Amino acid sequence: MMKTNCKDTLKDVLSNKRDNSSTAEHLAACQHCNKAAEEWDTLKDLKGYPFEEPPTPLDTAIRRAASDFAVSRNHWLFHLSGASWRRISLVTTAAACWVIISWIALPYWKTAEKITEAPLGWSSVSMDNELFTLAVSLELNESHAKTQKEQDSKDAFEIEVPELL
Amino acid sequence: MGLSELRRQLPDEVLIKGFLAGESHCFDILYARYKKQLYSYLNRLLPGQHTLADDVFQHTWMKVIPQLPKYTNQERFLAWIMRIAHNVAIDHLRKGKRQETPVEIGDDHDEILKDQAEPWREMARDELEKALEWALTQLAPELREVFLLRQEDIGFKEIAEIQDCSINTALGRMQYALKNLRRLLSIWKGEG
Repeated sequence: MMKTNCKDTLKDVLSNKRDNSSTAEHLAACQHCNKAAEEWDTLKDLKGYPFEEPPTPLDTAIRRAASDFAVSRNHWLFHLSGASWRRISLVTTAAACWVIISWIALPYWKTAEKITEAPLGWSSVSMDNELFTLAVSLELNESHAKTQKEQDSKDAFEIEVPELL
Repeated sequence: MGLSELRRQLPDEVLIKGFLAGESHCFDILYARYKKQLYSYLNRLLPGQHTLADDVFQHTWMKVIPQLPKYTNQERFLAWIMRIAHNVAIDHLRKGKRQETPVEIGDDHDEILKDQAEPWREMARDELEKALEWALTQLAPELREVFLLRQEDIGFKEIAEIQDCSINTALGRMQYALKNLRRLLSIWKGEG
């Protein structure tokens, strides 16, 4: 469909968008728009004079500023990537959490250790002679009492069996 | 093809990443790519004010360098530095006297089209270049800027961002600039 609106066509012309078929059709049919397009084609390439080089002192100052900026950025802290920063913060947070948890849990852990400590096992016997003797005697007493108890229960079982039969 | 030639062909965003990673030669390539274009543009935007154009050029790059980490590929690099140059130029012009020229933005495209004068047809290229250079100095800064940006193939959307106006306003300014240039070129031809 032909673009009948000169305003839209002119917009396309000035935007260098003439591939649109409706714009091309309009340009072919409308003398005024065609003239405007020709005018723009002529004027857009007229840059008056060739590109100028900036003066050397300007060049030098700008390059030096860029170099200084690059050096300051190259400090290792600034040089780290986003992923590195994330990794560092994760490890630091984990370490901080571990320290805090340890600090809170330490008293509880010590109490628990005291409770679960075996009172008079072989492992708890020191090399002190008196304590060693005491521990051995208590261990023997305990062992004897246990054996006696087992014997009693065995006897009781043996006595009760004939009655049941 | 040598390594330096390959580097020269690298896209802007790759050069920027390289520079930010510490390779300062990447900036040299980027700077060499745009310095002439920007410098010529500023000299035409600020006609007869070479010292001011130099100042704006230097300040623009001084602002561009620290802002390179913020550059995103959403905008063409040339349009991006033009926008920074525009802001720097405005700052410099604010310090001096500047007369704002009110620009009527309306449906004057009909008027543009009705104007039958075609001075550009009747002039040789050299003469037309001189005439255009003079005519641009006579235009209001906003109109001159839009025309020069379009000459650098900056889109109307980007021009609107640079001038902080709507796309329609940018387009209207362009049409108004062309209308004025036509009139000025006719005057040049008549006087010549």
